[in-house]
Amino acid sequence: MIELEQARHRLEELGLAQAAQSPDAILEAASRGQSTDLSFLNELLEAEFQERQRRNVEVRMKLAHLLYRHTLREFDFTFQPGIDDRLIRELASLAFIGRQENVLLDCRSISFRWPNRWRFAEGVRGEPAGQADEGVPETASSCGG
Amino acid sequence: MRVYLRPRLLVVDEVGYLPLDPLAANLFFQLVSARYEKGSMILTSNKNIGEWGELMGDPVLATAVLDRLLHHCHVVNIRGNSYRLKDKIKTGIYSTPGAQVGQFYSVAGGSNEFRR
Repeated sequence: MIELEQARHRLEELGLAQAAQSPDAILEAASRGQSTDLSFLNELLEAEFQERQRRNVEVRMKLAHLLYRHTLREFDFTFQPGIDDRLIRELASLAFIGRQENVLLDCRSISFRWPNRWRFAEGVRGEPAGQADEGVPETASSCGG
Repeated sequence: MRVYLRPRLLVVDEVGYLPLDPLAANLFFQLVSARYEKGSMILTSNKNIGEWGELMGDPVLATAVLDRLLHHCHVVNIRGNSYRLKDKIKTGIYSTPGAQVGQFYSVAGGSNEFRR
């Protein structure tokens, strides 16, 4: 077990904190010769890599100063049946970036009728009163921003 | 310009929120042109593609931009009510009758087209 401690210590010294912390099970299994040298090395590096990537994303998310953190998993596709959820998930894989392709999110003509109580109580949407009840007025689409 | 060329993905939000003056339109063209087949872009817009001519003040320039933009492009059409109002609609604060909403979807529920 002295070797194990040494290895752990060196990993820490090299700044591979996650690998140093990786479960004893991996190290022990390795020391008992249950995995090949190569697969052990890979497992160790994988643990380190995963952790670094996770931290990287975390830091970037913080730097982005997003007000809310919305994820695709929470998105209610039944609310927007026009959207092909398979396409969205495909895009979420970011494979399109590797192919240098573009994505155009076209959210025009989101027309809806503002509830009367909002229009009059809050006086937000400056619509003439006469128009209020004619069909569905094209109101400002609120998609991005 | 290099700042906008370096990232592998550039997101341009709200294209068409404000019309572009000739200089801005020109720069936008240069951007799209320089990233064409080199780096991906995500754009969000609430303007019909047909309205981009107006938006950029020059239909020829707009065509050139769209030509490059749409050559390798996934277009996601988002139709229907604003997702921001989802909870209000579900709790009934929002006044549109349910049937009308469904109807609206079936008429205008955009199809998502793949373009490659």
